[in-house]
Amino acid sequence: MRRKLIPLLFFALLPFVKAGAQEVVELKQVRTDSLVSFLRTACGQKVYYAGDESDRTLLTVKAPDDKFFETAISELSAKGYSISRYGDGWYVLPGRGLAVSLPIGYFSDGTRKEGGDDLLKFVEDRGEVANFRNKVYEIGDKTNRRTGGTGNVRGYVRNIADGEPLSGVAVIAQSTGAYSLTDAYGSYNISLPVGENTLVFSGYSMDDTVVKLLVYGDGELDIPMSEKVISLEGAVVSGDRVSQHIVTRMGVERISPNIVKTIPAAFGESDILRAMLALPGVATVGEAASGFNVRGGSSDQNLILFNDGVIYNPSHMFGILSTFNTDVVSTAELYKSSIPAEYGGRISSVLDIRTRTGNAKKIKGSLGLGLLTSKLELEGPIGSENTTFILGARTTYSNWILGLLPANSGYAGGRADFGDANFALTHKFGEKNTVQASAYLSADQFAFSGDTTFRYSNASATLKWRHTIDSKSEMTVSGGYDRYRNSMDEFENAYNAYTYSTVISQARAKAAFKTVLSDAHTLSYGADGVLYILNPGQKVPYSDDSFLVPVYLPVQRGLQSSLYASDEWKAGRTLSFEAGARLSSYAVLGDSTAFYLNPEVRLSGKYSPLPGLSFKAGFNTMTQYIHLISNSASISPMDSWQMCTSRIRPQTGYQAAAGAYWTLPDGKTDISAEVYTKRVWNCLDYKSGAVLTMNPNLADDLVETTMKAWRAELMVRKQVGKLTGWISYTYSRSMLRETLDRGIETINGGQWYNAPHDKPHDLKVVGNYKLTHRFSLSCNLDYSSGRPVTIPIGKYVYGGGYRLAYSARNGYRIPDYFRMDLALIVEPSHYLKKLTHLSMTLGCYNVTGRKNAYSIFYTTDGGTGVKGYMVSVFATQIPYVSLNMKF
Amino acid sequence: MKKKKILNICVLTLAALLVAACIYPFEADIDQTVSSLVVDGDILIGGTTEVTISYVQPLNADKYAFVTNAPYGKAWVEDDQGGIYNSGALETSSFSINTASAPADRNYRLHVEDYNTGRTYVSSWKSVNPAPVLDSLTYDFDENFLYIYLNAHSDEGAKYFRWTYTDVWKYHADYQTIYEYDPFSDSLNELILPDLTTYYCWARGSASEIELCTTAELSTDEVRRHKFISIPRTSYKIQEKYKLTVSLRNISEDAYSYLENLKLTSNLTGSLFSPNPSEMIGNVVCEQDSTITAVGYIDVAQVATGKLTVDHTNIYQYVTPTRYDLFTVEYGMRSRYSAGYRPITKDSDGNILWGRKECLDCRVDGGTLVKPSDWDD
Repeated sequence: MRRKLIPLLFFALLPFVKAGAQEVVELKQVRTDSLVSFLRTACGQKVYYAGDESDRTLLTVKAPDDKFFETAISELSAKGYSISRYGDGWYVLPGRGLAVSLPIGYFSDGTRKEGGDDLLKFVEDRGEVANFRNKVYEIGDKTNRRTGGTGNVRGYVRNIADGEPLSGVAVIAQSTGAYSLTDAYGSYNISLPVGENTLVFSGYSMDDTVVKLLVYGDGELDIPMSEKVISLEGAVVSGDRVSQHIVTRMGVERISPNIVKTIPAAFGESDILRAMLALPGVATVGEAASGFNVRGGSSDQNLILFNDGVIYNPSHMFGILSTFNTDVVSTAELYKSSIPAEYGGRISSVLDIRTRTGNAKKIKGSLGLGLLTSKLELEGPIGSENTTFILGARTTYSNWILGLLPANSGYAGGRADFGDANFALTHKFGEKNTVQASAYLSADQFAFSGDTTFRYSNASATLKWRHTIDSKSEMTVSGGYDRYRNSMDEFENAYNAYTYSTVISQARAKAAFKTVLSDAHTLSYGADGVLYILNPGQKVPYSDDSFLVPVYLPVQRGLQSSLYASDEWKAGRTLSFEAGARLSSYAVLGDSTAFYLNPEVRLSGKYSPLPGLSFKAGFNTMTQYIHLISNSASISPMDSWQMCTSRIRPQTGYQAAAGAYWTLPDGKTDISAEVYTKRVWNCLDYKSGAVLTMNPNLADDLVETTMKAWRAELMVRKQVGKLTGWISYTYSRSMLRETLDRGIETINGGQWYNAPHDKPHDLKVVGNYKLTHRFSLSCNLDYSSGRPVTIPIGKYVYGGGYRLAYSARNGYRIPDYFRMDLALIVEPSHYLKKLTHLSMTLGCYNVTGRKNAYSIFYTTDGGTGVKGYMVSVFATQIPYVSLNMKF
Repeated sequence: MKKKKILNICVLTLAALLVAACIYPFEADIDQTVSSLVVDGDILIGGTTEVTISYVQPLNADKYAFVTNAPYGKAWVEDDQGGIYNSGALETSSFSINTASAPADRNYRLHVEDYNTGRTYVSSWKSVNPAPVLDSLTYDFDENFLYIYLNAHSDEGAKYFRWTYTDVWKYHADYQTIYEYDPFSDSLNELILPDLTTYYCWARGSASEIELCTTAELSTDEVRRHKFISIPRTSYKIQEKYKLTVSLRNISEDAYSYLENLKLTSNLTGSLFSPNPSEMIGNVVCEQDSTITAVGYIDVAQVATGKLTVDHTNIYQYVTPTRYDLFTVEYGMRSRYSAGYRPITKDSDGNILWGRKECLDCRVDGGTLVKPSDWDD
């Protein structure tokens, strides 16, 4: 029925004329699909056209009846389609398509011939959406013809399907080798020589887009990109292979949710932080541990940003899941080596996670069901395409697990709840202004056995305004408020029952500018300020029956402010540099004051002597004005933060790194090697018997240490083909040494000792094999040395029972870690018209069932005897299934 | 208590709940060694100071290692007026020093000489912590446990409490019998009264845990309802009568943090957020080499004692003994007898049931048949 209707419709709508005996047929300004339909019906030819929605080319064909087909074909060729003939069928494909040879008349009869006025659109300030790949776009004022000089082309790259901005897409000028990467808003800005240019847009899991430009001056061009038909094709975390060779910075990893979903995860809860642990240089002290360690740094040295808000605790359920709902995340970028000058305040790394802006075309959503959580995501336009929203919510029903506990265990009343919610509203005021308001909340609660309740929550809100100043410059201004709160109710004995809590909150403002100075230089500069208000602890009576004296530790206030500037210098086709400086300061406000000023440098350079071969080097210095006070193996949600004071100095450090990156000539396999060395001063460690909570003289119980770390990372990665994935091996060390000499109490006699997260050998294998377009198999393998621990080496009798004598600090290691996971991923069927799409993952975590040690500990059972134990979190195979429905 | 801790870990790790067991025995290959001297025993003014010296032993050493590898030497208490309090014993590893008449207004320290190494150790000078007031020892019980609480306070404003306790309890064997087998006549006799010679026993115990409590965070100097003993209601400790003697003293803040750390690091739970263990240095230093310290913190205190008796038979919950099989004997009673079986009881059909003779003997549970001299019934 439909097939008949469509041609009829065209005939009704399209102005075409039939004239006289020598019939001349004319079709004016018709779309390609209409023309093809006409050819099929009127000329009786088998013509097939693989068009897409974005193709808005209009064609005019006028020819005598008998010549009409030929003319139409050559017109199609002229417009850049490739025409292939196979058997008695004609295949019309967009230029790049599957053509084995160039389209007929592609050069001779090129697009700049007559009729070009229709084809070439004059582009001025109002901008243009590039909608057809082989069209030539004119950029700038045509009347102002120049020879020589450059023009700035800027615009947004969006996903054609839903209008979402695409970040991290490489924009490369083929002639000059100039390049730009789209930022988090999908915006790019590239300087091109006046004249003919070819721009290649290339991003992971998206089809490459090639656009021909005729540049007269500055102008705008928005590019829609479509996802590769087989979305699993580029199943890799980060590392678009193009950007690997064009980005000057080292150690930038980009993780997109599509990829996260292909990595097997415990309970099938796909999770960005868990997936990140599959990357080289990212480690954790144990599965189900909060936080992560980047390149030998401790876990409080990572700046975790969610829509610009700082997330102090990214973990639900003591680390089993992260607090980020994968369904709303656009991208996560992890800077583990070269940290842009824009970021500061942490020593080791920056993890920048952004939510999507939401589908601009229609209201869509998804519903996910897993073993632990269920989640809902909703997005779409409000009114017009200019206003979009995205909403995500997640909640757990993990209480059923607690329900499995035996009734007499004393935990019958135990509860574990968590949830998180995200909201972002984006509005575009014209082409030059975008405002986004976003909010984030996550909360956890645990109650055990009726005498202790833990709670913690993250909250963050941000308002951001992005403004395009002119064709060369743009500005982003944002402000927001973040808060992390934790509390514990302990009410076993009403007489001394208490509630303990800490709160850290911060108000922040940031202004960032970016200016393309020339085709070689792009300048970024800006300033930011953070006002910290930290309540390091309060302990108050739980109820009126308690005799506890309420104690409030003094609130700590401080202002961290920074100025930064950095220049990206493309010194040629083979050489580029990025040099940045950041001046950060911290002022302790309040009764006791102190002021710290630290200049920081961020340098990186890249030399690419051959296509596919790059060498990079980088040097960073960093400062951190905030410490996490934690003396447990893993970050605890109950740990408190501590600002710098006159006695607790900021952590400062540097990292120097070098690497080589080689893409094999087949273009499918990347090999990389990186080495680095790192040193951090004023890391905190703890005196024996240190009291870390509610201690008004905390500084007395802390010791300053120096950290040194060095590492070599090797990686082989295949990103194309049925089999994708990577193998990485890392050798690293991370050690601490107490700075001061405290005599016999000095930790390890003042010698270097292993940092708690030092794991020398680390082997990771991630693979995905595509069986069919819908079915794929994923495998994940992880081997690492055990982390260092302090264990008892002797026992003695004291006070009527056995007590333990301990080794030198971190003198032993827990057993090595090994785990393999498998998953079968079933993608939804490809029927576009179906109302809902169901995807499913079947998997097994820890296939070999190895009992990996999370921790080892010894107890004397109240003095009666010494026993050693090993805690294993996932001590057996954990099969899982998770369902995700899109509507 | 132990069971609860292990469960706690399971809950904290949560995921482990899907797994039958989350904790496994573990033994590490240990190559580091330590052989420090351990000095244990506070100076108790107005009483007897009991000091024990020993060496730290390898983790896997058996309990005899403490005997075969024991130090020997001498110990004495010194006051800041030049007074010396010697122990009677020499060349042993445990010393009783009479400090009953030592004045409470002086500072004291302990000297120890280790003849093995030739080193002498001395503790830091400490003033006397006056005796606290032990208000009462109380108990209550719930469905499963009997709980014992400490109630005490300090008139001197002291905030750190430490106590030790000894307990003694009367209990009985699994069964008493009114049957007697006579191997000479190969016959069973029924007695008028049961033979109770090995039925009742008395056993003693003492605290193996370091008991501590502080009121530093409270608005009073009063310890109220501090639970420190939990006894299952099925325990033989409360079958007949249970007596507890508590010896309470105040200690200094330094001693408290030393002992609290010791307690903590010796009872790790392996939970995700247990603090990393590390040893604190006590206050006993080698006089020849100040980089050598002995394990232990020697404080000086006067003690207060308190007693508690629990003899409510309604608290004890009877459980049918299951340690030994009971069976009927059709023939061959003599050979059964000589193999260690005795007639025990009668089943519902009137058959005599035999069982191991241990189920008539309370001493299998470690007690003695001798009534303690201070036992009052």
